[in-house]
Amino acid sequence: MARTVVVLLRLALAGIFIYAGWAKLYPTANVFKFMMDISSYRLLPEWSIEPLAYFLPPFEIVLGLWLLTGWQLRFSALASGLLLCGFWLAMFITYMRGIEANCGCGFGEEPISPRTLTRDGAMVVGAAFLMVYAWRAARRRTLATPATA
Amino acid sequence: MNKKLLIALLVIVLAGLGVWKFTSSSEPAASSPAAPPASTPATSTANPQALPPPPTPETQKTEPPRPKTASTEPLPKERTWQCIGSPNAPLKVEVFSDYQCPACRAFYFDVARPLMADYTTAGKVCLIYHEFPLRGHQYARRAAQYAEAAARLGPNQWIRVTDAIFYYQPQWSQDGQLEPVVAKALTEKEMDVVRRLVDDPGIDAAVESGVREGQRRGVRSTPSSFIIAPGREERIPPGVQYPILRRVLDGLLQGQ
Repeated sequence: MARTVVVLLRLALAGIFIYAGWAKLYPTANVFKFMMDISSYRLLPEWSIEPLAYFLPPFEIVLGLWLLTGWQLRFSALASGLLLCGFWLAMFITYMRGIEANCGCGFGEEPISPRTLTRDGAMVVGAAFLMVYAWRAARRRTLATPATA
Repeated sequence: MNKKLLIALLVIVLAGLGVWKFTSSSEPAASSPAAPPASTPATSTANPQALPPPPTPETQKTEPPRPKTASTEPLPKERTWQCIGSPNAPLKVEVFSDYQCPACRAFYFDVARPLMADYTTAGKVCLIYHEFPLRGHQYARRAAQYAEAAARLGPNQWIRVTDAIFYYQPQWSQDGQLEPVVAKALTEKEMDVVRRLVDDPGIDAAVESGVREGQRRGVRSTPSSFIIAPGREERIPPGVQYPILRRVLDGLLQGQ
């Protein structure tokens, strides 16, 4: 049962990352929208916004593909969890500061709201579950392997 | 295990950097050489005292020929201009704004004013300001009426009055004394026309049409602004930093 949940979670997160990364990159002008969205958070210095806007979407796609393969799941789940945690924290801080910013999540025009915070929070929980499961499975495998003389 | 972790991290970083390099190699430099240098929005809207005083008729260097409207002459029935800048500009920026909203004031001084200096005068952007007074703001509609009345005289008069209304927003928001504020930005003759126009039902109808247009476009808060490029309409997030908006406009102007 847990194995099925893990597979479904892995595929869901992979799909979300690939779609979100792609939607921010194509058409190319979408990168500009993403740039403005990051800027509207008012969290980062201006010089860092453009490099980040160009780096994050391909990174999300690569992460999604990595999750899709299932290779070294504990590390891909860890990377996903950290990234999602970072996104969620940025959104939470901006929301609490009362700044009206767009989520920039790649799902169209979405101001940061309790709804987007809940949705991304659920994704963080999903990635955390995946990570714990994968690390425990890896540990079990290590313990089950007989030590060589 | 450490080796595998390192390989996995290396692969992801290299792949990310590779795609970034690939996608950004076709992008132009951050500032177009054809674009005029950015005027630094050195104003901090949090502190009204730090703002430069708004231009007055005496300080306005590029004063256009004044309309020959005397108190007995018929009043202008409508605006004779469509936007700040050229109506044939490749990009349009539309703003829905409320004069009593502090965020609109910040947007005007930090974004719209530098935009006028860098893009509209160069004919690259047509800037359209729509009145969108919010119901909760007691004097916002009256301020919008004054601005609309000034707009009937010309874009320069509108800019001067808008500068003054936003600049003195902390004062008139308290007491509603808008007329002295508007008078600071206009000549006697212009102010006379504005006084006669401001209560004209046509002025209020123009303000109302801005509100209706905003509602049609899904505007719920101010400032709400949009970039309109051929085949594309993009909402500008309210807190966007001007240098980032510049980068976006330059990219769109270069047809990306």
